[in-house]
Amino acid sequence: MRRVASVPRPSWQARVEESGLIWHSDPAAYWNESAFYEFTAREVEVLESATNALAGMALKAAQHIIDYKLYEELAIPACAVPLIEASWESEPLSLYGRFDFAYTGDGPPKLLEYYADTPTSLLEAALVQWRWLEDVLPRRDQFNSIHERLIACWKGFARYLPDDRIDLCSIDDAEDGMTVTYLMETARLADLAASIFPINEIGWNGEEFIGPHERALGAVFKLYPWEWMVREDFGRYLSSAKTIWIEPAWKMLLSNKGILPVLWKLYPDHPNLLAASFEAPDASAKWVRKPLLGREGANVTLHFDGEKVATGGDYGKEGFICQELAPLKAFDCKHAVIGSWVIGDDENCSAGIGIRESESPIITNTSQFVPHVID
Amino acid sequence: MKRSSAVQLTVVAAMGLAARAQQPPPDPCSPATFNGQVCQAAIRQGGFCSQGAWVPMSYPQGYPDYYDAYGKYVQGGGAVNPLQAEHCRRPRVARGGFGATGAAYHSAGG
Repeated sequence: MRRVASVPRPSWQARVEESGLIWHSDPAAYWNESAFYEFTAREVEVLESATNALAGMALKAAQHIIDYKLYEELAIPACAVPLIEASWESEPLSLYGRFDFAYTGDGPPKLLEYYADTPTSLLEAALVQWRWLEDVLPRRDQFNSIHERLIACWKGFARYLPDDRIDLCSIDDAEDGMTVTYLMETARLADLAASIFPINEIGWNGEEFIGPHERALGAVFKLYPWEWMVREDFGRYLSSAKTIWIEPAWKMLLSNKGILPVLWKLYPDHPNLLAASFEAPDASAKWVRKPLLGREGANVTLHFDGEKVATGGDYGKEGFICQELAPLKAFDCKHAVIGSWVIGDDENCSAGIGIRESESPIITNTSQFVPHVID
Repeated sequence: MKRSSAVQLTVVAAMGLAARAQQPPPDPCSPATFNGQVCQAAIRQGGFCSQGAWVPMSYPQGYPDYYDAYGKYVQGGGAVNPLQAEHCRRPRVARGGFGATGAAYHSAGG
């Protein structure tokens, strides 16, 4: 794995906007094609294998949480437990997720966290970096079948979705809105009827959830975390409504950082895991504190060599977990995190990667997305 | 491991089939059950009453399109059993019950 300097395409801004990436520079530089990462085929195989293995391990960890009712450790409210258990039993449709790895090409990838419920940076991983490859290095390859796999996954879902239809919703935000717009396009390419709307336009008529045009919502993809949904006003109707939600409620277990100590307990010393616990380690250790329900690197604190590096944010009131500090190597003074995508839920669900980098060892929502190639 | 794709397919397929098995109620804008007044009200209100219950329905086209379709159906010899006007209580739709938490954040993704 190496970082290679590259000349940006003339009018690269227009090129990435054509693919829907409208937040490439504002409020901060986000898309960065002045470099790319290069992987060997062997390194890609390592990432793919780790992703497939961890996807299976995560399901076992979810089963463990349910079996031993570890909901309190994960700060999951009691009202959410019946939803989680019912959705686990009925085994509904699961579209996607993203494992974030610390990986340098030396040694195995180490799982930093799992965005199993509402992962973003999908558009740039699936489409924008692929078009960059076609423009800049058309004879090279990329670890990226995300787009094709999404379409295939929707096709597989079609027979289970009422009226062959999926409605998609998110908050009214450029990135989230474009993510669901992209997913809508992949659903349409799979011959599903699809529409998008802001999540606050969902209605409740006393019997069922309805969309902006008074149509009952048979199946909804929501880019909105379950831990928020269950606590909001309409959360009380979730258990009685017939709506199929994608992602399903049990993903709440996997997107919670509490999954990391559970995985470590079930698979101690697994090469793709970092030691993790619900308690702080001794003062001599190098470790990271992460909020149970945090996202995008917010409210994370690194402890190493007697120093602390922390990010701000609004997360953490539900509690924290502690995780061994990952061995990070800087490439041109940049720390890279590999987002490894899972599409569907079969044994070979690993679908490709996207890379975000930062001068800080904590990747946040201002970290840059950098494309990649396979050597 | 408990999760099994085979079980998933069976369960969800059953749900999908059950959804399809429900017969839709007669629609005042469909040619065979067309009722001009009720159809116009249904388009305006986003639904109609059938057997005492409110049926939410979205109409993507304007009334003239449904009227034209009805006319062609009749010209072609189609039989019409107009949906009778009914009165029922239209359920009050509450909105905004999701999204409040996310409004305070830049993104709900990660």
